[in-house]
Amino acid sequence: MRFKIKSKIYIITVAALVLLIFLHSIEVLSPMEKALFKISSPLQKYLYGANIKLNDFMSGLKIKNTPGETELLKAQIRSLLVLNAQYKLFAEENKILKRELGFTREHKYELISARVIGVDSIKNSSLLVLEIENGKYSEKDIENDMPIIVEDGILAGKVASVKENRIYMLPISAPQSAVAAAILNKNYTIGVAEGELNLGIKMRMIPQSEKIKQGDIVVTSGLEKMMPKGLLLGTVSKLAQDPQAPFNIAYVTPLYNAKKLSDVLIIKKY
Amino acid sequence: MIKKLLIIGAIFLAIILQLSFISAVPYLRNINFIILIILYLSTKNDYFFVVAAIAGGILLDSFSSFIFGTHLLSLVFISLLANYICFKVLASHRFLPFMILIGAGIFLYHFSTWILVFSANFFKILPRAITLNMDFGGIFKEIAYSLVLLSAIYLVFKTFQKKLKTVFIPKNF
Repeated sequence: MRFKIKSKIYIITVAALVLLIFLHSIEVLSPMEKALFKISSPLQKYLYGANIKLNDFMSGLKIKNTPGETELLKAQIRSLLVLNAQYKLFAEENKILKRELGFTREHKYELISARVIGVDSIKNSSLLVLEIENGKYSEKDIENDMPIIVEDGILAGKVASVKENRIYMLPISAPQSAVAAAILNKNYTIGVAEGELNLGIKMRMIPQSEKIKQGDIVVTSGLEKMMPKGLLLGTVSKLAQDPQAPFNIAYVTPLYNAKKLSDVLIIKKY
Repeated sequence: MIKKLLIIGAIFLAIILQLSFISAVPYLRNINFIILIILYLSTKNDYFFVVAAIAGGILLDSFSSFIFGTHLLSLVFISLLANYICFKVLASHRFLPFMILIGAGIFLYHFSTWILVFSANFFKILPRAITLNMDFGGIFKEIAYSLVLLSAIYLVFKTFQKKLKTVFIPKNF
């Protein structure tokens, strides 16, 4: 008797699984999923905000700068302020020269604002879940591989997939991530910036002859579809040189930690 | 019925917490609470565990970029297997066999998920960017953290059960 009940349970379970997968494939479950997202979104937004605060608190506990490091950072800030002032002057000069020469084209992006509300439900997956904030746009306006930026032009990742009203973002530091990049050195070295262990980025295939130094800025080269040129990726932190190998590897420190991302912008058109 | 609905609600809440909050909490981020709930329910002599596994699978699949069915099939598979082992193989349902079952269940869950994602990648059903690596170190870490948590809960529960036995009036008084 017990054996009969058991086999009945197995048959019902398998039938239920097949039916559910079939119903999902013909999008019958879609309204239910949309309703589920609508219910869970506010809660997820709140919880992810708390998650970022907790992350900040925990990293604040870990990082303890020595007085020497603090002085060095202060000196760096001062020199960056000087550079910033110079760049502002150059930008002003550039604007005037452009006007005088008749160059009117400006690089303006069409941006869609989104917010990170969670991570993918599979462990070890590096994907982040985004929700569109701007009511003008919907998930139909988003395509795979669209760049995702933070602030004013810092590349944070790409769109990996779009499902219902959720967007899955692949951060630049994720192992599967690859972006056509360029190092702003004298030769404008180009290469592919690949994510490494969700922590950093590395640029392979850099010829031995290229002169790269620590602190060089890495930007997108624009040599791939949908990706504008000049989005900031990070700065070179280390150059691995092997005299036996024909190529060097540059390790790049991203400007943003994927775990601390909250508000992002998706570049729709540029 | 209310108890069963509450369990489904708890699974939903656990999924939301796991995806949006627990990923930042040290130590706890290594534990998958949904598998633990499903495995625990599978060791009870009640077929409700199948419903719970299906509900958990649907919810996880809805919040995942991977193809629909990945979590659903993995969760139902490990819950049925755990139930079978618990009632057909294990002679006793004491602490140690239960812990071994949980550890094996977590490993099998990740293995079956990886097999499904790998198959989807192989047949090019998933986009290029969505892949999954079998991280053995991460899985063993998850098993270790989960077992430590369960042992702590068991210890606290047993201690309080003993201490509070004398405080309350027994049911058949």
